[in-house]
Amino acid sequence: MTPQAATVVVDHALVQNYVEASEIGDRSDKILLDQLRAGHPGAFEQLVAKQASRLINLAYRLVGNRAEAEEIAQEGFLRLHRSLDSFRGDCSLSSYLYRIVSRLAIDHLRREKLRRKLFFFRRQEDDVDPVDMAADTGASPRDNLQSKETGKRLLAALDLLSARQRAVFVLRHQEGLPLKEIAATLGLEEGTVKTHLHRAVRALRTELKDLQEDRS
Amino acid sequence: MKDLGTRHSCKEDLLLYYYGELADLQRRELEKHLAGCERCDNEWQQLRRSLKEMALPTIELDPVETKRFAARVAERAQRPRRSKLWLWGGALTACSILALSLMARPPELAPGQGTSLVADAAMVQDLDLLQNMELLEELDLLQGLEGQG
Repeated sequence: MTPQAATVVVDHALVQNYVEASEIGDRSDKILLDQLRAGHPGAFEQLVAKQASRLINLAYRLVGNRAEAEEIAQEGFLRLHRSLDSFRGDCSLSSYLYRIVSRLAIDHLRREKLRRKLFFFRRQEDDVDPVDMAADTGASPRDNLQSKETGKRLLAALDLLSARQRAVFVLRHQEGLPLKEIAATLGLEEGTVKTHLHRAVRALRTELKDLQEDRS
Repeated sequence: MKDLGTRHSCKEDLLLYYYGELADLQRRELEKHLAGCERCDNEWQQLRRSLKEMALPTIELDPVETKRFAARVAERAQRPRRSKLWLWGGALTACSILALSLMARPPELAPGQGTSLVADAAMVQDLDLLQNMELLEELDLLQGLEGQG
């Protein structure tokens, strides 16, 4: 087997794991939803606790700020709660939440970009940096430092992308969603998603070129 | 569709290949091409390396933080939604004030009265000039009297 083929096998295995994990998660989500509709106390809190980490991380990668990410994730859960009666379960609960949070984050990014243009607003540099709080304890200090640096640079580079390019890149690259699902999540054609992904990767590679040259 | 077995693979195909998004036939053709084309293989290795390094940071939520967040959201969900009645109330109040101020306005001026008022006002501005004219006339009279005297 060629090394290239091995990589693709690994990617396919990841897709398979993603599908299996989704199926198990979907069943437990359905149970929680049924309990919630039946008025079971604490069912909503349990559901939120189960999905919180994924959604906050998704929002964080989309907007690049923890406090804003928590706000967006919270709004996503509240919208789910308000639409419980109309939620028919055509898609899985996690897909539904991904859709809401992605769209909220895109709206937020667009507003934020406009605000920055209008008021020359810059994010405060002395904010607590979540990248510093997200250290990988298993890695060596040098690797930790490098991955932190890459994380920071990547977050900064993501700011240069359009809201949709950023969302497509994050959903495919980091969240591992298939392109078809991303298209459904963002309400776009699959071809448009491919174009956004291609442009996002091209822009990020250009922006992070020096970092990659240093490593190689 | 491009024949990937014979042509140099474009970057978009390599990207889709990385993410496992190429159809089986395309994937096999691309693999065949990469095995025999050094240029494309180099391109592929570079792309693979750079994408592998693009790892976004993860926020680790400990159980306490997760519980606190879930409790906050659940509490917010129980809160009654803020009614928009105050907005309608505000609009109604503003309309009432506007209507009252219109009703309290002095009665409408008769047609044509407005223009005569403007002419009067213009005359008032020229009042000083009129007074000066009277003075000039009196000055002529005084000069005549002086000549006679």
